[in-house]
Amino acid sequence: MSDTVIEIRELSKEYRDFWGKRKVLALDRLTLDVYKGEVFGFLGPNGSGKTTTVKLLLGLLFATNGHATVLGKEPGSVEANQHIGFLPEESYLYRFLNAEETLDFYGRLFKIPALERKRRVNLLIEKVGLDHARRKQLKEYYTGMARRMSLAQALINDPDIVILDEPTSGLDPIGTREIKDLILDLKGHGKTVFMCSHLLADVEDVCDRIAILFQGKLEVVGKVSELLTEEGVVNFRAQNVSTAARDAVRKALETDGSYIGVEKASRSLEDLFLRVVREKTAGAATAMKSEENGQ
Amino acid sequence: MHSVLAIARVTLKDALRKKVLFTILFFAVLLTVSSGFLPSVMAEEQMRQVSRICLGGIGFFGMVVAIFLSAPSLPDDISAKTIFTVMTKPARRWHIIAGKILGLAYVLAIMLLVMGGLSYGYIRLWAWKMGPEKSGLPRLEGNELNYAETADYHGLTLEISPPMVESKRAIASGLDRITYHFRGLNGARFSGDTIFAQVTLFSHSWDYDNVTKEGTAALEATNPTTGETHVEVFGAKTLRPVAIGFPRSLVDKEGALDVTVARHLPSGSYSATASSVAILSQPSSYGVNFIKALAMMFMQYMVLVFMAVSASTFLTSTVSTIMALFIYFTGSFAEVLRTQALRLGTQANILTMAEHHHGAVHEELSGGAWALNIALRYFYLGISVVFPNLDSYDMGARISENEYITWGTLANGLVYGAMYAAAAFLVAHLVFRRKEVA
Repeated sequence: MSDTVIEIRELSKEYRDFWGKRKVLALDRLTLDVYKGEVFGFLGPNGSGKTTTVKLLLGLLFATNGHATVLGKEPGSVEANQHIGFLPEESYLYRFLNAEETLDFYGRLFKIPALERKRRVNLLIEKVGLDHARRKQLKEYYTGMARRMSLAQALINDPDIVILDEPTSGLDPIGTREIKDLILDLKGHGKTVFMCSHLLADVEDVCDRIAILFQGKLEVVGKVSELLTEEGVVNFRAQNVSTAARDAVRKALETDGSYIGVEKASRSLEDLFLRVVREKTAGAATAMKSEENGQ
Repeated sequence: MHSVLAIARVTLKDALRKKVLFTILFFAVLLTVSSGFLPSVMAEEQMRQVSRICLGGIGFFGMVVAIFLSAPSLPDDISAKTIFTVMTKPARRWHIIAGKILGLAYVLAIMLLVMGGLSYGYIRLWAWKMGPEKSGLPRLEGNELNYAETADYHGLTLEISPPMVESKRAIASGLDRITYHFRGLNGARFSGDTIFAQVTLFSHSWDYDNVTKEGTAALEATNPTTGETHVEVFGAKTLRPVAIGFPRSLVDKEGALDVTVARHLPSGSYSATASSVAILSQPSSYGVNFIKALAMMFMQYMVLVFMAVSASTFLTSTVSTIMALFIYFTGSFAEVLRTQALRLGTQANILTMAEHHHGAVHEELSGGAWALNIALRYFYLGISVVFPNLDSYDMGARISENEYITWGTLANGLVYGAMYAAAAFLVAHLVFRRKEVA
């Protein structure tokens, strides 16, 4: 089995009121392992305990019971944080800084030497497509731009583990696609990605394994390919099929007794949207600018 | 330490990009300039007024900045959740607190330099405009370095009581001859081979026809080990300080020196003389004194910053601002509270008008009234200990009254402030270490 990078054992979190009375049990004895190099999707409806788990893994909250380690280290410790990149649910950045200053600040927190810091700052600003706004204060950024900035700060240390809390929230379909591509790119570079989301399509596209949390309890965990397989159901895909050929296939399956239906294939709404937008605009870069100006 | 410096830089940038800082600076300049146009009777008084208003203005606006920037600094980061992105980086939690405090120290230092520089320039400008004679710009003769703890009068040793030596100046009264024993002078910095003693006579002399005769007086400086003596005679004008020089070699190896003031009266005259003697170390300028006053102000702000940031680890932005204001006001009265508290106790000190008219006697308290008094006594004493005595950092009066600020005052301020700062930081660290941010 692969190396475990995040180990969660019997982790519980109770929120109490001022008088110490239990208000809510946000997380109930969660046990989970995340392995090196995988993209792990952490799903659940709002209020199911996803963000609580993330905050426990980052040492922003302290567990009531149980324990967790990140790369074998205590959550929130300097040693663990050294290797983590965290993208919060919203863009919690200093609004009075510009893009360069923001990334420079976070780079300093990692003690990245000046020259290397400058190189990474430039690289990331280009990577998230904010080259044209690098000297603008963040308070002038639109939601999508701030989100990209947020992502850039999470990657400043070239992290081994990237924790993403609702990575596609506030993004349009193009931004969403870019994030998904980036996640796959990170995976390609051997990084571990732990992402929380309630947008199932996002998760399905990029995750190797998923866990579903409901009311603080772990309900399902496993590989996406296995969890989504319908036993005994096979999909055929073909192009330029003549009516005769289609009928012939149907007939053969009917004889077998396993026929359910033959339909015209339809693309997903996301695919359609992306195709339309990309055709209308000359490439994603121009599309991105129009998004920023239009918002 | 990288993270502390990085957070400090961001705190500074935040403050500099807030317009409030510039608004305050504008008002400070307005106040400084207007101070020169207030009417006053004497030219000297005018200079004193300008000095006081300038330093008072810097003090007040600095306090406003110290409180209103430091109290919300951490709570704002928590409520805006920017703290998430900082805490999840390899910065220890106390680094965040230390970084904030250091950043605020940068802000206050810059502000003090700007406002102090402007004020100093303005004071100099006024002095120049009025001319050296009229300006009354304080020119410090020197550091009143050490005081004599005892003095001899005709073989009797007089103890110089503490209220007399507050300004490091020995004052004793006698008729015609009095010796002051100075100790601990060997650590002092003197310019050249001459030491100056500043002597002031407070004398009342008379003869049969009630005409004041001032006559002369002599200062005799003696090395207590070798007995070597230097005598200097001077005109004994009352309340006119004179500086008298004598060889440095008269201070013995242990740093001891005896100084005798002898009154020479014309025959047939009688005199009641009191004198005060101070040994002056290397003279200092008004500018140096001004910088020292600014340094004391900076320490005062930093005590406030430490306490406000500490309070803000467990209070909201608004509540910690109120708390910091409370610390400031109580701290400014800490000394008064302490002295009043010490009077509370076994006796009823507060007399009603009726009691006063009937010549009330101090009656011994008992029972509930006694308990209440004792409780109040310790309550106020507690407050005066918990809250730093911020008044001791206010050098405005000393500057305008031309009183030399000793290095000892600065060192005391530093040590005293450091104790409160350390305690505040410890509290902040203990609270913030396990604070959950959600």
